[in-house]
Amino acid sequence: MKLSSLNKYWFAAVFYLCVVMGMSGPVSAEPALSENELKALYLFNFSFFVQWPDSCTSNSECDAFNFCATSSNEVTTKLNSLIANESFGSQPVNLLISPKPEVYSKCHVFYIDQSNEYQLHTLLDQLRPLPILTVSDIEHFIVKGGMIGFTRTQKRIVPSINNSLAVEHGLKISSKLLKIAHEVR
Amino acid sequence: MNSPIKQLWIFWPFLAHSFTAQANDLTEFKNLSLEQLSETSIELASKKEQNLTEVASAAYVITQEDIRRSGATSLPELFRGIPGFSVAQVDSNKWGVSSRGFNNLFANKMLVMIDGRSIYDPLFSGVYWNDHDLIFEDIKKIEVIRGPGATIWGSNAVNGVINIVTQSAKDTHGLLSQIGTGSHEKLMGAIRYGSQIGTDFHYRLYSKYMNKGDFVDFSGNDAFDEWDMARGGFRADWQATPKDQLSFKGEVFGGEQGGSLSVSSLGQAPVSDNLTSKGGFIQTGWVHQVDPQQEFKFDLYYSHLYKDAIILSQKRDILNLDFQHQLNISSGFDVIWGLGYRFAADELQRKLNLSFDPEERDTHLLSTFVQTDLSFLDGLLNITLGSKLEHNDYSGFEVQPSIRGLINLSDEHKIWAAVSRAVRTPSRADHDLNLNINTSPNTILNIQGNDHFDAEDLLAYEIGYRFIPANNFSLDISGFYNDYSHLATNEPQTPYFSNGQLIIPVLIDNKAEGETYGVELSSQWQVFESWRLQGTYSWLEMMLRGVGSADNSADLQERRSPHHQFSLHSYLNLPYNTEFDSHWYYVDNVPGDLAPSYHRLDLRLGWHPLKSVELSFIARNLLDPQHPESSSRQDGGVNSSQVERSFYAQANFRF
Repeated sequence: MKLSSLNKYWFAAVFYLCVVMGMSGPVSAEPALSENELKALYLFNFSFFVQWPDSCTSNSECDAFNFCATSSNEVTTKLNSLIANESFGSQPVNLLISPKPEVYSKCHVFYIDQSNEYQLHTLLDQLRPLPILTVSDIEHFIVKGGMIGFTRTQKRIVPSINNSLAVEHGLKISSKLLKIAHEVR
Repeated sequence: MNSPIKQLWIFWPFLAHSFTAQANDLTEFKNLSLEQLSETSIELASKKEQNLTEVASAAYVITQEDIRRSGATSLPELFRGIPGFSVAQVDSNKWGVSSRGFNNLFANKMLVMIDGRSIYDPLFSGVYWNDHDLIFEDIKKIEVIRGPGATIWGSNAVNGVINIVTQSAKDTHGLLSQIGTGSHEKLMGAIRYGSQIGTDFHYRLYSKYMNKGDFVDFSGNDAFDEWDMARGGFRADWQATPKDQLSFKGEVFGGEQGGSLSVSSLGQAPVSDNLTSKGGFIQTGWVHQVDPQQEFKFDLYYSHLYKDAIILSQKRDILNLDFQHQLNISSGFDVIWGLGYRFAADELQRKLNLSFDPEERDTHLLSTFVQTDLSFLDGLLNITLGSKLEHNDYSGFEVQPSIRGLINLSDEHKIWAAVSRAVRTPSRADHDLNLNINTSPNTILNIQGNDHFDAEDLLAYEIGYRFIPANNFSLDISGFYNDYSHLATNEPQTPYFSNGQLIIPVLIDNKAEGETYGVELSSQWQVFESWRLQGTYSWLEMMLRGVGSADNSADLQERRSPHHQFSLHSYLNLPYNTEFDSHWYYVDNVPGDLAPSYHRLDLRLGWHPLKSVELSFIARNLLDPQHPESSSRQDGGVNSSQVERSFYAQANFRF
């Protein structure tokens, strides 16, 4: 039926596009980053655009800035390479990976990987009393009780921010960060 | 780069120079501003990991959260409520699952995979749903595509594709144990242990046992369809180098499945069948990331199945090899292409009135595909062009091209359209079946496979719209018009007398055609932080007819598909770590046949008294004591039973 002619056009189109676009040579000037690399870069950057309350919670170690996650994943691996030998002023920067709630009080930024989705509710409950910036790529994270969710729009990743929740926890998110957000609540 | 791959480059001489080796030291990008980060395009790790809202097809994803809160204990139960899908439980251990019509126990126009491993059976191109199960917590997500997906996925992806993606062993460390019991599920027990060796090798071992009881038949008597299934397996993931990821999976299973058959040669009364099923698989995959722009994937699996039923004993081995190369040629121009080979060998032993000629057969399936993704006008317009070319032993070469386009009007509005061709290649049964049915003491209906049976063809036109006005609401509408030709029919031939019996030969042929069309709608709404709603609606019309055919099966198919279906799911988080979930389904009646319309209500109460403990209480089919879901009292000789109201409790412990 109509297929033979459809095929012909299709092959012609593919061939044309391959030749035209293939010949145009190296174009990619933008940094080629993977999704996980981009998320790690965001996490790293959040530390500069968020102010934590001055008074540290009773048992927190104010002498270090800590990123936390319950388990190691692609994003934390990338983040680890970013913070190697890094310090914020006199504060060394660490990545703490532990599922133990005792550790949470030491955290400044908590990355919640999608694999935590089944226990999101419990995890957020445990983090709630603490001034911790919660970041996740779980869908609808900011409506599910988190502060910053990664939202994918086309080929970009943009943070969505629940600012009122951050404010409740004494975190001050800079207007620069709010400006680039996909959505602010 | 090794030599075979070098040779493949001959096909792509014009692409080779567009790659620049990129040092991927992340620290280089440390100083990017927030604005730059938000403007950065990411390279999609895999075509299949594309954002759902950016896909130019009727896609749907069931998340781990949806699965956990569904209260389901069998895979097909998870597919209820997928827009455009029809799920009808035939008896305690059998289901008909199909997309966009044509549903019955032997539904054959859908491709189903677990981690890319095809689980549809070449005997009838359908799925033995009772052979496949997982620890549901090990499922990462279920990706569903309604409509053709043949270009990348291949044959049988005519009306839909289901791909069940399991969690990486990296995400399943620790001990999980589950125990459940109820009025229908007599016993469910599962245990899984995951850990790591060194920093880069992760593994899990698991085992699961399930025993489900009988339903009732149409007279209210025991349907003898109880069943059990035990399985054990493993998965290991190894990051061999930063660029090489390997995975290994394997499983063995075995069980017994009851049922009731109407086999006329055994007399008029239904006969209870006790089917033994066992099998297993091993699978290994290797993903090699050459540079941020390109990736190679290899996948190899071997599976074995043995089923011994009252009418047939079958043994089948399958070996499958897939290769895929994905490359980003320039910003907005991606190509993915691949090669595949499948070898299947079977042995089908006659036990009663069903046989195959030849009894043993080896088949080879060769395939190749190429797909290009082009993005124009800064992502406003995305075009996907591709085709699959394959060769099978029954119908020879098949070409399955598709063109898809997506317009990103804004983050809120997206429109897509597609035209594609897909084929359902002949199954072993279409080709080699020989079934005798005594219609009266001296008359035998002899249904025979046809060596000239051709593939069933589909030309599909689809269109869709996605509306995402806010982070907490989305609406997805899709419409389709499917044009089928060469659909299967059973054609009576000239009767003859043999040994004083009248034999009516019936030949399987391709003498039906027709159109189906419909609209599917799905919506997600996170109403509050603690309350999520999910709804779907599907409308389907089928207009099938025979072309010079003496068979009314086209008409029958048409009558067996419900026109309207809807579902509403509510997920509510309550104080004291409790969850209350409800699932309501409506399925329209099937005109002129035996299944009346029905409403189904399932409720689940979940409680996490401790972080490591989850208790679930589930009530299913609350609205009536029992009802039939199958549109026929007898499906291919299998007597259907009625689905009963049931209660179930399950406890999960994680350490």
